[in-house]
Amino acid sequence: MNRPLKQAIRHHFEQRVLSTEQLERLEALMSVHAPGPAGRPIAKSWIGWPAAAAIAALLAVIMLLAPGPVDEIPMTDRIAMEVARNHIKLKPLDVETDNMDGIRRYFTDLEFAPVKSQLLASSNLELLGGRYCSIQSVPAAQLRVSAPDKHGLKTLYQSEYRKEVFGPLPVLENGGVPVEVNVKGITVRIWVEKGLLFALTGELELEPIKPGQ
Amino acid sequence: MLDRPVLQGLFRYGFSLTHDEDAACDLLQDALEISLRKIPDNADAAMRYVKSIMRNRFIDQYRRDQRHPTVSFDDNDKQPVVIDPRVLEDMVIAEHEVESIMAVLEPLERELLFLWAVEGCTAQEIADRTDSPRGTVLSRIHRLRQKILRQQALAGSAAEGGAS
Repeated sequence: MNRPLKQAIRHHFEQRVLSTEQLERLEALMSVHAPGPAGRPIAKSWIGWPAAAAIAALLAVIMLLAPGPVDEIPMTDRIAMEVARNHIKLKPLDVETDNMDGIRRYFTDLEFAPVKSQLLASSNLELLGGRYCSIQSVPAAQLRVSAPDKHGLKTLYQSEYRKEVFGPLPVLENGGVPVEVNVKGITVRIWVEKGLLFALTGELELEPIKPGQ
Repeated sequence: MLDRPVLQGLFRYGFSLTHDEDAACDLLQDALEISLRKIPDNADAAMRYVKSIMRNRFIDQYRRDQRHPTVSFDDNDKQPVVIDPRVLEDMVIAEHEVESIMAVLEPLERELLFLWAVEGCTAQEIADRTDSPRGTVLSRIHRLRQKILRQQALAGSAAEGGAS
């Protein structure tokens, strides 16, 4: 029997239902992670009305005097969002090469030369190529790498580290540890190394390096 | 906390990507584990948030499987496209053809069908939800229609061959 495509497709999906057992498992999962009843921590009872009023007044003064919005998105989150978004898009590579010499020969319009990361030296990442890109409007090299075994394709950004744009970030040579941000299911690690900003998507076991190494 | 109808809707969305019920349930569970601490209070916003996580996780996972390591999930078509977004509306399909057609579609094609047929999205809404240009969505709709017609023709000729 023929029927409109839309109706047939809707029927196809409506037939798929989670079993009671699966629903209960998901509900149990949600209840474990659920916040308080109002979605916010409950105020402790020892904070009386006078104290609450004083705190509110103080917050109001801080908000009035603050130079920008207090809920401004941290720079690391903004970098991570941009990197994750482009990782998901997986745009075609401008250049395909399996070595950094090939990358450096191609990326001649950048203010820096892409380099190998000391942090990733032991990860056996296989270079696939790259394309011109930017992070927070700063020109960048977007490299695509493939990790061995189950880790799959990753996106590695390199950009000149401009502190006035990116703000303070952990510097590997100073013993800094990469910042890890999870953006809508994609993990992004951000660090500074050899004067460049690095941002890498996905899970990977990274061996810490010692200062001066 | 998401209620059961919302969970069922999310599961079906996961199924549109994975084409496998167990994988869809795993994908939903995975997304819930990641998102629950940041989930918006508003139900619609929460559903959209979890869906975006499911989509990102799936695409990342799908590539990791390396079945199609070079598939681009942002297939921007360079040529101008003039396509009527309603081309799917006039299509009809035999009941028994649905499964075989869904089996040959790419994940993003199934997702598009789901958003169009189940959630009633327009081409622009699909573009917004999938973070794709509207032209790309229209191109996908066009290719989807061609693919379905081809599959129907194949099924028709196979049936004729079987009957003769």
